[in-house]
Amino acid sequence: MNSLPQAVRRRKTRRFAAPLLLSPTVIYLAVFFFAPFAIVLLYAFGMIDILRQFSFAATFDFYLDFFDSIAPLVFARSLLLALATTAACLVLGYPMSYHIAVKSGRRKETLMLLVIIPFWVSFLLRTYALMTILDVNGIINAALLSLGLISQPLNLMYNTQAVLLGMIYNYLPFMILPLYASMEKLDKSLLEAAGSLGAGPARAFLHVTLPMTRSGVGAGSILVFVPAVGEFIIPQLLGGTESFMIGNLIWTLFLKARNLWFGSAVSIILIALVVLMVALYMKYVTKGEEMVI
Amino acid sequence: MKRVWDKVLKGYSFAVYVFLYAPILIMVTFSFNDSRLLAVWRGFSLRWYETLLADPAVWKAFYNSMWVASLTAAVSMVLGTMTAFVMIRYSFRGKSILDSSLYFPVVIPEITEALSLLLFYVFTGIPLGAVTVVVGHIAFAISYAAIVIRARLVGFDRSVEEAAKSLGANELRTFFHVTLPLILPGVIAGGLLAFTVSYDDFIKTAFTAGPGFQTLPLRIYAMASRGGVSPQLNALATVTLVVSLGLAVVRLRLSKA
Amino acid sequence: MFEVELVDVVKRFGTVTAVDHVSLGVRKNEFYSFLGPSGCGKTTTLRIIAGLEDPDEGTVKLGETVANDIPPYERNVGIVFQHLALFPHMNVFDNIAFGLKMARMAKDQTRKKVEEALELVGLPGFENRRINQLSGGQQQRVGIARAMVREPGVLLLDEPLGPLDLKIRQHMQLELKRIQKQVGTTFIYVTHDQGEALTMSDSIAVMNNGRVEQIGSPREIYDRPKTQFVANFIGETNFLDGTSERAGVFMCKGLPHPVMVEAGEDLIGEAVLSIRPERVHIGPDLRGLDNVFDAKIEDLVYQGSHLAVAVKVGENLTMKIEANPAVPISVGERTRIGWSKTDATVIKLEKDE
Repeated sequence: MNSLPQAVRRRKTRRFAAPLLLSPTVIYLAVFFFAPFAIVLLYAFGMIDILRQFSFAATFDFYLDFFDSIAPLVFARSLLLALATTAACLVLGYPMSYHIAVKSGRRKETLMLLVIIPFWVSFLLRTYALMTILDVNGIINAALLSLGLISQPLNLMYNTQAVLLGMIYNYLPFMILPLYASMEKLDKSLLEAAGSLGAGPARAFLHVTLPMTRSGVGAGSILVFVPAVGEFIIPQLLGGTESFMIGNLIWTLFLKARNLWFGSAVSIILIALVVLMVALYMKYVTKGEEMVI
Repeated sequence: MKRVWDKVLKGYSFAVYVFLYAPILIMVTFSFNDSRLLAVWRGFSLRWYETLLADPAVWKAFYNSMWVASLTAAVSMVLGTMTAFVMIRYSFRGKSILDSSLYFPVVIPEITEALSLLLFYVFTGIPLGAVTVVVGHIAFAISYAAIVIRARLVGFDRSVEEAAKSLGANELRTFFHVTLPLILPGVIAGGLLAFTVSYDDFIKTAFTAGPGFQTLPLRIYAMASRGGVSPQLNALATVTLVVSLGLAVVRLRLSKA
Repeated sequence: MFEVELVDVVKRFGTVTAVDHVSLGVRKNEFYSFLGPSGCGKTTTLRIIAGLEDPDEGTVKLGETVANDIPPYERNVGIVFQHLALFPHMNVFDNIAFGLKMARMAKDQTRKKVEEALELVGLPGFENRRINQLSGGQQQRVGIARAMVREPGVLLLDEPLGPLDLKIRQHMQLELKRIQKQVGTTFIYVTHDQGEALTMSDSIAVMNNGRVEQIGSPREIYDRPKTQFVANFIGETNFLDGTSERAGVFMCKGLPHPVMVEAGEDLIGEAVLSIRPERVHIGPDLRGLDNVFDAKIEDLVYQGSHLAVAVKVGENLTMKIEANPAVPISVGERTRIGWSKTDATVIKLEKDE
């Protein structure tokens, strides 16, 4: 009954477990995620030619072309639109998050869930849904016409306003979520303490709530701003020539004009811009704290 | 005074909810409209759905979306679990670099990933089609799955594994009999997220599908950018939406498990 | 030959030495306890025996075999974990049957064994219950059944009764003892509760800071503590500083005359006298006691079964005494206390304190 094992086994297999389990993912990502970016770099520097031959002759020509083209204008416009979207989402989203996080008591999880549900629908579908109501024959025009407020249907789409509306519509949950997360952690007793020290609700908000939700504001802003700069679908479906953004530019260059080299240069500049923004965010906004994802 | 502010805030939140839901609800509602018009309700009808069902191109796109997403989910689940496991259980040099790299696919603008994949295929001479789409989806989805699964693994109490070992189960048997059943909800949630991410994907697919391969989002985009708004498109969008929402609900259930 | 033997085992975690040159031997069919405060290394030592930790130095022997490199699933050792670690996704039957399933036992044989195990722990018929339907005590028993159904040579128990209520705990202590005697398995039991260890064990290893302070039977540990730590950790005691001048005589600082002790030559030098409060007698009639001193009663607290008395002896020494509540004494009274030399222990002073 009490026979003890005689065999003695070495336990070296444990050392190989980690690399073995990790290698498929590492290899896959190296080949299909990181290597492609390296190739973009090579194209951007003109090191691969039209015959797909590699050469070490790097050139900055395509980057210089950037400045001679409409690209800087497009970049500036995209940055501005992204900025406007972020600001609007912040202004619109903050009171909403505040209401859910602070004023809703037990219902806050349900209310938050209701915010997330549209989030589960893809950007494409949400943008299309906006199209259906903004359309010339859509419900907004129909309502305005039937109320007699207008005599001819308005062109609500294919302009910058529509794009901005579409951006705000799609990105609002991205702002509300981190704001909610930071407000949820807010200790109500701090506000009570402020009140007992003589601060009215406005000042308590300014001096206690706002600073303490700073991390949520930062996280929400970066979660909106960064993807918004590179947005394609919304300006493509809702915008016109005046709202041509970086995403549209890259699409045109790669899929229409087949200008892989200039397109790559533009993309590298976009990536550099994104990296810069994230770096600035990490340095000045989070100051090393954990990011609220 | 406080009461007034609270009421205003409440009303405001309600307005935002209306803003968020109205377009989608209207689109869904009018997909059942017995009329070509987008704004006048003529009665409930399933005719647009019938048109959809009769369209072979739509079926093809749906079928493609489904199998691409399923394959993506399956591969991402397995690789994501393996990766999450190593990240949680082992420590080694370069682990934090690997950790950050896992977040790249999630943070980088989608269009840059799309174009990089296209260039990769162009340079290596691989023809665009179904395979290139799936490969691209998986590259992106592994990260999503790994992050979700890892979050579930964090609080895992390892004493059940020690108990299993004390009862005669070696590492492999412990994993299959004890660990896996217990982390399964998280693993499936990761798989479902990968599925959703692939199913909804537009831009990467658009860049890597080539002329002959279409998924649902591609079809929707083609119809919307060419023909604009139409009841058929409303119906197609509604169908796509229902699948996404259904998946999300299942994911939610699993995360509470 | 020992059933389980540790020879000079060392285990470090970073800069902390959790197990510091521990040597001990557990005999077959013994109920052996590791006793000590949290952080003393008792659980780590247990885990080393289980194979869940690898020692940095030293040898772990199971019977004749050196077990250092044998993985836990190949050691014939059962474990009852502190927080049970029952498999939440399985019912009671599957939990208990797990070990047998790993051994690829036939279904009907497994069923029979599981039923026997449930009988043994007093839970017949519980096969189909889910784990979350069980009370703490019941879960404890399932944990024990699960570990024992494989008939291990040694059962390791890591503070299994910690999370239980007092009454259930006392009941389970008796149950565990009964099970151990009935099956005849060697039990190695980890606890920080000295009452528990004294009640249940055949041998106790008292540990502190990764080292074994003393190994002995409950009586030896209690009556003859070898170090100040053991004397202090187990029960209450009075410590009197002084020197052991020659065998049998202890010069205590502050006491008017020498104390008669049962101490050999090896204890000569600076030392501490340890005498338990209940071994000190108080009152006028102290016939036959070797050591008698004048004392003044400083404080009295009625504790139901005894009186806790604080007295001043000699030059301002305070001693704690447990007296019979029937003895008539009052605060401020001058009286006498005494004890026989066999009731006190001399402990050599630890120089590296």
